[in-house]
Amino acid sequence: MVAVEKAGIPAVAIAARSFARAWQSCVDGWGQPSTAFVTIPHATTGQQADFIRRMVDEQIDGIIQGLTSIQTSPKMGRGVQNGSNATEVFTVEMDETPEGLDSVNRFLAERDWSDGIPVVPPTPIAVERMLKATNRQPQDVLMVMEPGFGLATVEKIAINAVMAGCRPEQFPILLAAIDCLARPEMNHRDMQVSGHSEAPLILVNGPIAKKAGINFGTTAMGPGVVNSANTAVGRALRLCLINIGYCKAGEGDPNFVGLPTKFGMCIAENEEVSPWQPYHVDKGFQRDESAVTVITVTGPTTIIDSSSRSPEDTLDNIASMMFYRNAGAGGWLRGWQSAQVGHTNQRVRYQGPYHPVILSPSRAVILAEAGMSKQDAQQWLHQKCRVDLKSMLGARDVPRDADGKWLNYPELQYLENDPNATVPALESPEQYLLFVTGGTTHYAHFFYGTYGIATVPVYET
Amino acid sequence: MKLQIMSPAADRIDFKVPPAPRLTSLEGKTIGLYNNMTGGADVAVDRVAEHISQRFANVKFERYGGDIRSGRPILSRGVHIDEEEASRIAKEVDAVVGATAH
Repeated sequence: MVAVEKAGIPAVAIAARSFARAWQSCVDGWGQPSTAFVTIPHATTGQQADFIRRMVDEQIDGIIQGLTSIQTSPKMGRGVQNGSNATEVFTVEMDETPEGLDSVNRFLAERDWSDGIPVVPPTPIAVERMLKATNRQPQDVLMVMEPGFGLATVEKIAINAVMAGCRPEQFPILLAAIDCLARPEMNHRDMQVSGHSEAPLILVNGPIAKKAGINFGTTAMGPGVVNSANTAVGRALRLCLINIGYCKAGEGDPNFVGLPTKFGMCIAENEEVSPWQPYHVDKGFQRDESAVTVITVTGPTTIIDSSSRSPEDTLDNIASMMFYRNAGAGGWLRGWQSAQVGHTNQRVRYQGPYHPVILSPSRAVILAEAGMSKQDAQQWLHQKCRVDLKSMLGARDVPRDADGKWLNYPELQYLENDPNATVPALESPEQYLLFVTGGTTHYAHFFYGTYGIATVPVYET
Repeated sequence: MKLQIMSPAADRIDFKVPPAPRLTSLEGKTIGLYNNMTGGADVAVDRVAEHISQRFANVKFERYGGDIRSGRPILSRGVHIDEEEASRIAKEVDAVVGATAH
């Protein structure tokens, strides 16, 4: 709507009431806090038409008013900072009382600069030590992070890394994760502002994993001292999304209920035990190089595979967990998704979603022992995970021209005439991202990928 | 004990977009109805059109957001209007009412 106002004509938006703060936060960031919108009690998605009409009826006066008079500009929720390269330094009094011990956390919480869990105080000395773990300059800007259009400088990332409990040897992984988010095909804006609950999953490959202390064995995605590096890196990315991207709970972040995985997820491939080549080698890296992949996901769901005795059993079991109609299955027939970047909303097409399947080494071995490569397994899943075409088109049609011809994949339109036709749930086998990690037993995790994915090298000192 | 801590909050790009001039009346105007192709947004903007038609004379409507509408290929499917589209919309209509299903 801000783009429309910028083009010179008035606009009014209709939004669900639970998104009101998120809406205001976004238009603040977009530079027009007075953008008009009305709220209705519930999101229209999934509602019956009569109910939607009744909700609109109650707001029609506000809609007309929004087109005919300029709204009073609300006070900006947070001061827009600009220009100065000098990071503010605050002095906080601490003492041994319970209040005194918590004074740094209270100071940060009062400014909404936290994920709600106590942090390590980001002192100048700690930040300086973190910055020594990279050759990048403190004021280098890795990206402009939305929805707040915050400048992700190396120094700000380091401050958030300290807060999360990162050690310097883990900092290059975090910087690489931010490099991933900077790629347009990551669609980080939608990851940040969607009402749908999703979180970034960081996948680490190569020697950096061991050097940084990332656990890739038993319990790697869980709590515990052995997982402190995994936890700290994942948490640091979330703190960056909050403090650099201004994706604050209930404001930039309007998730309907959120996910515990949003506190952070970082795992490394168990390359020592996996029977297959590591994921980053699939992407063109050398085995002795390090790479980080970030992918936006919801879930996970644990797949219990105790009864399988063959690779087909295991893949059948994994496939059975995967799809329901509204999860985007078959959506590739509607064309690639669009990411939008920056204040101009520049549109970038990308392929999605990618669904990570986190395989225990034991589950990879049952496949490999039968002579199945990773690509064979992906191909199998691609062929077997299918969606009923009629049902998919009924949920939401594909783009057509004026004569009803499909704009994408016209060579497949003949399938419309077959009431029993099915199509692959995903466009290509590679979209089943098989990643081998954790303890070696009969389990797997399946994540629904939602938006983009990117893989970048890790730059070490 | 005094402890110095550094601000974790990033500087932000300070965009400023002035609001567009408002209409004095909707009578005789053309109103754009934008839905981003998420569920029910089309129903919401269609209802707005019904109300406006009843209250104001000679109002016309243009619908946007329909990558599956014949004659309107690929315009803002589930995403935000970009500058090029906004510029085109501004030439075709006098104001826009949008719904995003959220």
